[in-house]
Amino acid sequence: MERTSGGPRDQGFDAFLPLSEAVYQILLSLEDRPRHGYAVIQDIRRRTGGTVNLTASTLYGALKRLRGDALVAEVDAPPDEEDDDPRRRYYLLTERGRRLLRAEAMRLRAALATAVRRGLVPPDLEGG
Amino acid sequence: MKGTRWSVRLFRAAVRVLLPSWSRDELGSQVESTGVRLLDDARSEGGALREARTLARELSSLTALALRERTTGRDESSLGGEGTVMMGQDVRFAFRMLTRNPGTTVASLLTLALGIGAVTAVFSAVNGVLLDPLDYRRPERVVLVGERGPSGGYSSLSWENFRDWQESDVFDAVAAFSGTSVSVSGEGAPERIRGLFVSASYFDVVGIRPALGRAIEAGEDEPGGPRVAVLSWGWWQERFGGDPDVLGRTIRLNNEPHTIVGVMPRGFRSPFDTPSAWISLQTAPRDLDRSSRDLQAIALLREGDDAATAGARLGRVAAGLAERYPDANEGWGAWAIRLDGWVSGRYRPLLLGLLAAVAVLLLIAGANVAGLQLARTEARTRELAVRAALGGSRGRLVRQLLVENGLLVALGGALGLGLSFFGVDGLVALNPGLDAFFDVGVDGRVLAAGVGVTSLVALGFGLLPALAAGRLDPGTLLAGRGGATGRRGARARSALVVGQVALSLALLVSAGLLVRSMMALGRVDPGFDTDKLLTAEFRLTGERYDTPDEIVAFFDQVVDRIAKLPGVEGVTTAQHLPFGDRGTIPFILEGTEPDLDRAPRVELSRIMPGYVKVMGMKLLRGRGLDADAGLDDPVEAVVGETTARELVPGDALGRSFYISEDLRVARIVGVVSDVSLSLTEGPARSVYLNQRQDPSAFASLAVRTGGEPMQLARPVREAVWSVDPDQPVWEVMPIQDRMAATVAGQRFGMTLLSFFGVLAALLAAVGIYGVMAHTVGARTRELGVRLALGAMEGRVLRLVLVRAATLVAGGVVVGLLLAWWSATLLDSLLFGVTSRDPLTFAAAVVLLATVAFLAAWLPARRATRVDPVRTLQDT
Repeated sequence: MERTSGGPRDQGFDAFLPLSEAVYQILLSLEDRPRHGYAVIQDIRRRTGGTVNLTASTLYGALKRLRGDALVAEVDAPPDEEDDDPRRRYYLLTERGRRLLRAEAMRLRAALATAVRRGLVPPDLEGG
Repeated sequence: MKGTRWSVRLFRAAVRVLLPSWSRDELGSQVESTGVRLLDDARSEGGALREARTLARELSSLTALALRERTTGRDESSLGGEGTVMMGQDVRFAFRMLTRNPGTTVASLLTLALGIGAVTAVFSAVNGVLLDPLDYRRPERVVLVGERGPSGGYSSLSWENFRDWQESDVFDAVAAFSGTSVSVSGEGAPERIRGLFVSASYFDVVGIRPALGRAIEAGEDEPGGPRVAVLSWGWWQERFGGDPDVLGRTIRLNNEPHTIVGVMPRGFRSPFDTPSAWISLQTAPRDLDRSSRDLQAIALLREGDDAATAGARLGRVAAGLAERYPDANEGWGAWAIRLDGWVSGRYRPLLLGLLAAVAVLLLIAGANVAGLQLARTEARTRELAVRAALGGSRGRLVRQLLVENGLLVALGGALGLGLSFFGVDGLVALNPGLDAFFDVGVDGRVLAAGVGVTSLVALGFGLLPALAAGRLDPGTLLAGRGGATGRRGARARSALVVGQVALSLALLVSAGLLVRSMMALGRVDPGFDTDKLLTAEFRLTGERYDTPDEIVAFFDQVVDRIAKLPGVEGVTTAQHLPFGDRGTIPFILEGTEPDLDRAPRVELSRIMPGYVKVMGMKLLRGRGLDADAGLDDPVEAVVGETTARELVPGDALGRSFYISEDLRVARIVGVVSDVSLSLTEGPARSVYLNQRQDPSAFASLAVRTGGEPMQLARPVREAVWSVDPDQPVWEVMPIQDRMAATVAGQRFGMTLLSFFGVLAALLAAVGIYGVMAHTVGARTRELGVRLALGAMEGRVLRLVLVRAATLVAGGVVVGLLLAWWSATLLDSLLFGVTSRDPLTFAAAVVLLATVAFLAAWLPARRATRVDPVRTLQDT
């Protein structure tokens, strides 16, 4: 059982932060359950209301890098998926990947806090 | 699966082609299947347009992915390599690496700068001459027009016919003009300028109006109308000091007062020898006769017309005129061609050839830089291997190399663009005709071309080293064997060198052929003594020289005064000197049927008696012209040998021929040696009349000097002015300068090509040196072993040199083929030598081989100095 991490600067993630928009969204998509590539693209599109629209090359290029850094792992298809293509690969965030995602989220929160303090953004953003 | 749409097929093919082999299976198949699904979705959501947009996005990101894959290598993949923050670091690091090897860096920079600078400079000329030759407002609609003679030849236009053409509706506007030299007198020093006599419609065709004042108006070009002139900007500055009050002032042109009404805009150039002034046409010395055809004409095509259709319509107009005026126009037609094509046609082969040669140079330069960089990359294999083994991102390393190369090319390109400014000046200096007619300079389009070239070079030659680095395998590198990659790198560089040698050979052969042409031209004997002969021009105009007596008297006095000058060995005049203007008449013997159209033409010149002697020609038969012959005596002539032989049956002496339309004759009293009127023509058919009997107001002076001809320039001018202070004396120069001007184009090409050829050979030598040095370096251990085992130094030397020789031999073979083909492109420029001249080819091969040998010699010698003991210890 690992401890939840502190600030954004742990685990040697310096080189990875800040995450690009595309990578951040991909990590988010792979956080809650395994997905295959196409599903990730759809999920991101839905979640961002169409503002982030990844191409296949961007997605798989990023996935390759993420796997190289052990942030994402390939997993078997979850049993409840109706799979019309047995060759489809599914991905899921690793523990390390989750920590990176959290680190980025922390970083974003800190950045947001400054903006709130300065009055650039209203403080109440819950559910926004 | 439904029938595959073209978009899907295209995407699939792109994935297959772009991605490297090792990533195709996994990455490629995923990208392909998901990409196709996305395309399907796009089509069902938004139709073909949406699908096309999606396809475009997918393709461009696919390209980026492919590039990244290819430069990163097989299994290396990290998130940590992205971001512009890294870029800044890369640039700083690149600077450091470049300064660490100043020698190679400077060599690369210079090579690139020269190549890119040369391309940009030549392109600026191509731009000005070929792409944008006319300063007119609608250059694509301007045509050159004229009459077509009964024998089908191109002819100029007569005034009356011009007026009729204007009335007809064939063009939006038609303008007649005539370019000639004009004497200027009145206030200020007497001068001779280039003047263009134009009809008022000229400014409508050209579409450019004066910057100051107004253009010539309708009515001012009618015979008897007011005489006006529009100045060029340059002349306005020069003679009138840019005085804004110049409008309304009067100047005397050809002794007639003209009112200045306008000044043309700055930098406006005319393709017909940019004049100093545009003058209302009716003052030109010409006849009003319909059959007196001495005008040129340009016209503005109607909207939607092209030259061919307009020409056909004009032909019908001409046919109509032929019916109405059969005496003058029977059998005469018309022609029309685009002016911009005609104007640039003259220079097109030369410039395109130059562009090709320079592009070749750039290729060689780029190859050199790539080679140097490859060598540097391999020299750093150790560093790269250690870094890769320690887990550093290889993709990062490759990116660094790319940035390094990019930086090199960017700097070299910037330097090159700077050099190109000088290059343009040089080009213009070598070939003044360029600047007089065309706007040759570095403008936006040329800069864009320069930047484009730079980027292409960066992309092309920078990728090579980067790709080579991408294939590095840390294992073998650390083991010191570097075998696989070393060999592949060396093979690439060898290929580069073979290419360089081949291209250099082609350039050298072309240069050599042109050099031999120039030499042959220099050896041409034009038939007279060209050494120390000063020439000058006059055109006598005005009331003072109305009668033949007055003309003869003037020239007698001038010749007399000049003959008395110290340093003058002989002086004479001629209506036309060789290498100058020409005038021909039909040669019709007295008593034969006069047929003006079919009679052979001969070059006519009215000479002073004594001309033959001063010019160093020979009197072959009969006698020379009589110095005492007067205006009332029967007119005498001497003819050239070729004329006598070819055109006069039997003995020429004593025969007469017609010298004017009123059937006056001249009697042949002597036959003289032939002269050539230009370097590339053979002897001309010439006839010479006695200036004292049939004087011409147009004459050139020829002065044989004891010493340097130009030293007498001022005394000659002053001698002329002592007879008539208003008489401009013009183009005072030794005849050899005139001769050189006629081959200026070829000389220009020759100089440049030779320069390029030598440069190319040097660059190829650098390339060879690099490859050899690398070979020796890579095989140091092997060579050390051999020497330790007792191999003779000579053996080792031979080993290295044989390697070099194979490379060069390969390059020579390819180069000979290239040269064989490219030499044919030069055919039209060659003189006295064929494009297959074996001597030139052999000389070029020998030159290149010598240079290559020397370049290989140094590293080869180093190979023999390898200390066997040290290399064995030094793993």
